[in-house]
Amino acid sequence: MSSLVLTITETLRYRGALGQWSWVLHRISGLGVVLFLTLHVIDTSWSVFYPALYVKAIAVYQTPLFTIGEFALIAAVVYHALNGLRIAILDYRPALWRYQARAAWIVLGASVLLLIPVFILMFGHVLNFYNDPERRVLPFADVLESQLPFAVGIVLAVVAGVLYSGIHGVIAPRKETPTDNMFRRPVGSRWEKFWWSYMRVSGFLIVPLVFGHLAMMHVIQGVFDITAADYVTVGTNVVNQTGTSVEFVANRWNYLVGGIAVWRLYDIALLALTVIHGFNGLRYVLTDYTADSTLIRRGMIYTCIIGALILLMVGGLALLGTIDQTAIRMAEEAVAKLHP
Amino acid sequence: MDVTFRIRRYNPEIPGKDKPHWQEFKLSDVEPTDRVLEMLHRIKWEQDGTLAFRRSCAHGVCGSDAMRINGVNRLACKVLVRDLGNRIQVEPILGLPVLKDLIVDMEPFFEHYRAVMPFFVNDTPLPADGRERLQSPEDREKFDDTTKCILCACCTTACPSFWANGKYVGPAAIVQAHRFIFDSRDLAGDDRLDILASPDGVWRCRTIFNCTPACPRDIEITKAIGEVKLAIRNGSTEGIIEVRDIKHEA
Amino acid sequence: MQTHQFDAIIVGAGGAGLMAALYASKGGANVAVVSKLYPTRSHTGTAQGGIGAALGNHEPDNPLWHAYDTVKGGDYLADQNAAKVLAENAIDAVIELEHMGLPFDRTPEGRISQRRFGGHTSNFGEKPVRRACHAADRTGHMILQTLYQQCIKNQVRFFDEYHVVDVLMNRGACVGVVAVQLGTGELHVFHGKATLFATGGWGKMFQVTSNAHSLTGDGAAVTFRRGVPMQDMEFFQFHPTGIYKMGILITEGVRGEGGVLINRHGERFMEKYAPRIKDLASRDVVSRAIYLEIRDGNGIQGKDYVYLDVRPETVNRYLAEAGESRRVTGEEIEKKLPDILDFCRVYLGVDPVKEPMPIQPTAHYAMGGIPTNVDAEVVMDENWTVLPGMYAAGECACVSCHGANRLGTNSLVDLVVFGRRGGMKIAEFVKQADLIPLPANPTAEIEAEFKRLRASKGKIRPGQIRAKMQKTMMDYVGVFREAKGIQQAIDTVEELRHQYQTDLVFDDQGYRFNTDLIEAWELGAMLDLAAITAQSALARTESRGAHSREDFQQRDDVNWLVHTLACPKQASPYQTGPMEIELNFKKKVDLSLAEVDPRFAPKERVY
Repeated sequence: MSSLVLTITETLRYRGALGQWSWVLHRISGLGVVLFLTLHVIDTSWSVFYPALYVKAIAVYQTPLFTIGEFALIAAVVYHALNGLRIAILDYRPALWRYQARAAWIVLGASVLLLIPVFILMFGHVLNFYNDPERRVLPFADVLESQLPFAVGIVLAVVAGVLYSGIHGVIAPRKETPTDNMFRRPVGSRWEKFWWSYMRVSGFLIVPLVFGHLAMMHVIQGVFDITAADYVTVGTNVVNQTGTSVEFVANRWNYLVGGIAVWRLYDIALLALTVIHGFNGLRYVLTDYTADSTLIRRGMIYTCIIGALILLMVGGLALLGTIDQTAIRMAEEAVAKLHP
Repeated sequence: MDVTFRIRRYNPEIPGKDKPHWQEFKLSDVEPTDRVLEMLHRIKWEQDGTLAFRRSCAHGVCGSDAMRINGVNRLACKVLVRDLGNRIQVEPILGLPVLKDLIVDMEPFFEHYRAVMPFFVNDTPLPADGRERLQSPEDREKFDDTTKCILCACCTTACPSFWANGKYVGPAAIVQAHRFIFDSRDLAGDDRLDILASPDGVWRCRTIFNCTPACPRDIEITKAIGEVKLAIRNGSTEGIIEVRDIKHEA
Repeated sequence: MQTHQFDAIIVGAGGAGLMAALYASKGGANVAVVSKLYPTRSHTGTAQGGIGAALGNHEPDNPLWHAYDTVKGGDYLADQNAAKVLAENAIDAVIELEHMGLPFDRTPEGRISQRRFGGHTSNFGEKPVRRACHAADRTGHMILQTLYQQCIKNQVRFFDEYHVVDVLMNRGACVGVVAVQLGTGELHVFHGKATLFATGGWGKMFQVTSNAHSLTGDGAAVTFRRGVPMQDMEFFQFHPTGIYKMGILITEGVRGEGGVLINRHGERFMEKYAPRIKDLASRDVVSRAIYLEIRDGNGIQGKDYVYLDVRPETVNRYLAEAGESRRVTGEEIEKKLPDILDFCRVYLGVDPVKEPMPIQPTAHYAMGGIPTNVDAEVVMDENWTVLPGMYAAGECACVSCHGANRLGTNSLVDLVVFGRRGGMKIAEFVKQADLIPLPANPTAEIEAEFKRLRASKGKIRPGQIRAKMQKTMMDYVGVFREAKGIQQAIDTVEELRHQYQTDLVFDDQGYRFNTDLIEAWELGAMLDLAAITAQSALARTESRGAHSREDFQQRDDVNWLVHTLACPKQASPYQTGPMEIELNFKKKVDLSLAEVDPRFAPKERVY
């Protein structure tokens, strides 16, 4: 913790160049995206397992707090993606380092340029929604309350991680190899080498996938259109007849091209790549600031593993599950209950 | 010109000064071309002899006087007053324990240095003619940049990864390893690459680029670290460094 | 107080110390290196241009030619056997450095690249020769780094930031040293069979110097206080090209690459003083030429500096004039002299590729010091009586291979050659020698001295005394000297020593990194050496090498082919009162090469 505080205060005090601020933005945007990813994967899985909860989740997304969050999310994703490309390119071509500062400015500029039209389009959706006299917005208390389980879940994951770390420490205590004062000989880690490559390669793959996803779900059709009736669901030729979010999901996942559920495949790829990328990134951040305590540091690694496994399992099962008419009916009932 | 110095002081031996604190000194008759080190000497020799800092060669070669000056790591002997203005803030470099005023404990830094096998290894028989091993100017050029390192610690203590995690081997040690990894005569490159592939090795570098501008020797540090990462990934140093055209004397 | 025991103790971690430590440890000795700086901070690291060795990688060369240049450069005061050892061993030493990984620049064939350097010629002075092996303009940096790296590899024990303040003698032998641990102020006794001093020079006694702040002659001073004579102290080299006012060195390599010295009229004035090799004459010759130009009002704007011009157009013009086919470009200059260009850009705001550099002579190197034989053993008198257990190498030692004026690159040669020989000799010595016990109360005297210093509650700060000493030495015991001025310097230094002993004040009474106290102690060491230097300079009534007497302008081979030995006459090392020394001129210069080869016989020195 002290090292986190020190890093934050000293990063503010050290007059580093743009690269330093790019790194700060990269971390913050990454952390934000991982947090949203966690909510989003669990929420979306409910469309299969608990349609009523999914309806509520989408209603929560349609509240002002989450609308602000959505804009921040888009900005974070765009910046993180472009800056990630910059880092990956520099990592693979170190000789280009001379252009790093210019590249950092370009990333900033490109992000802004890209976000201007995106925000205008998104803002159009928001205006439409608030111009609709029949709009229904959940009370703020409901919004907070609905996030409580996530907060509890995150705390539990952290506690479980540290607990596992403790058990790990008891079962396999770290051998203190007697080291000569002169020579400390660390050993190479194949894992870290793998992760280094994974972050960069997955980054290249995620960028088109996630940009496509954002375009469909936030720009072309916003989060408000998910619950619009008699509307062709994006990426399909099927109309959302009930105007429920569950049918929206069902339309997409059941849409076949040549007998293949393309959007399921798309989302499976997106889920696997982003969750692993995101939680490994989270591990980088958490282990950076917990170097002083082996227990906590290892605990943070376990937390990340737990988090990633849960999301992969829950999200994966949902993507393999079926959404039938019963689910859509349950969603309709839930809508009625939510906005009596 | 008149210059005000604001210096981070700490002296555990004197009650009341045993917590880090700022102290101001005023100097007059300062020439714009004076080095910060000369000003620190004037403060020490004319105003307060207890001010402690390291220095030796005074022209940027020995690496003793790394400090954070106006927010950036520099050598006090290599930065002139005219580049700083008339308010100059000096504090110890960050990430190593402060012992007194501007003096930090360099031991953790040198421990990282020693960990990367910073010495030439080649146990094959020497040339039969009793002369030097041969090396082409192109091969020599590949590691020229990293031979310039003077171990001043400006880079390592400018790195947010190192601030957060003192176990990170740090830019300077990687630069030192690079000098041997890319030396065509050296044979222990694989050992060094393995050392640097450890969890607190090169992977803690987040390509932040604070090290490169901090280097008083203008070493392209982040580039060197990148080259080491690629060598680890490829399992070989082949083809990583493209030698710029080297012109020979006629 | 803590006591450490080792076979060998090396004081100082520059080139000579590390070389000695490396070879002693390779020879099986248990070695400790005690240094007041982290080893990589040592001044060897600032050496720029190259290390001379007759490798002949570009053109024919011969160690005998190197020895000749060394003897001639030293104005025939060099001991010729030492010069021969230096030149011959240089080849092996440089090759061994390469084998240790030193990254020398390369020829297209992959051999060590060599450049021209002041005073280095082929065939006994015929024409400049490419003898200086170089790694860009940071050869010393590479040597220091390489040696430190190899010491780490050999697991040499380092005591970094331990400042040696006294040497311990017992039963007529050296048994170790006392050092202050700078971080704690605690005294440590290092007890060993052999102690080698490699503590460098004392250029900080002069106002304008290329030397580091830490070059205060501690090693020479502590050995002198314990009875070791100081040899040839009047010979202090002024390097011709220091950055104006700052003294930062501009390597002779600049002139080796074709740079020339220019006065206010745009004249290449060295043509007058050294018609044959011009700007590449010996350092003493060039420094005097600059002083004479300045004195004649030919300094730039009439001030006390001249220009060093390495602009490609200037270099090429003189190359063409000399009928040479070689031409240089700005790019080549950037590549070969990157650090020099950087110094000029940072400190002067001058870009040497476009503008000439303002330079003036700067105090650079002590030819004199602790007398040793060619195995780095300290010798006490004209009979070469060895002081058992004590060794010295590098600038603090006087072998004497440099004589009255050291040739460029030969300092690095000296370090590696005599550091290596000393290390080997020590390894041999500690195998058969017994450990002599420490004297009773080994730290009593130095403790009392520090107590006295700490208790000093006078009015004068060390900085004031130091500044006055530096100015006095610069003005009166500098490039040109005469009796009246030297006497003035002797009187002033004595007055300063008196103030130091009775009227000193400083602020820091702590123990942790008390650099205030340590600087004061260093000043004491320098004042002693300044007194010895001035007295030695007054006694030598001739002009030779770096010692130029305006009242005795001729070299006097009849009376002065002898070394000066300044022997302490004091009863106690910390005796207060004026410096009492006895000057002895009985140690004759070794002329063994001249006995077999008339070309080595002393003759007039022309370049």
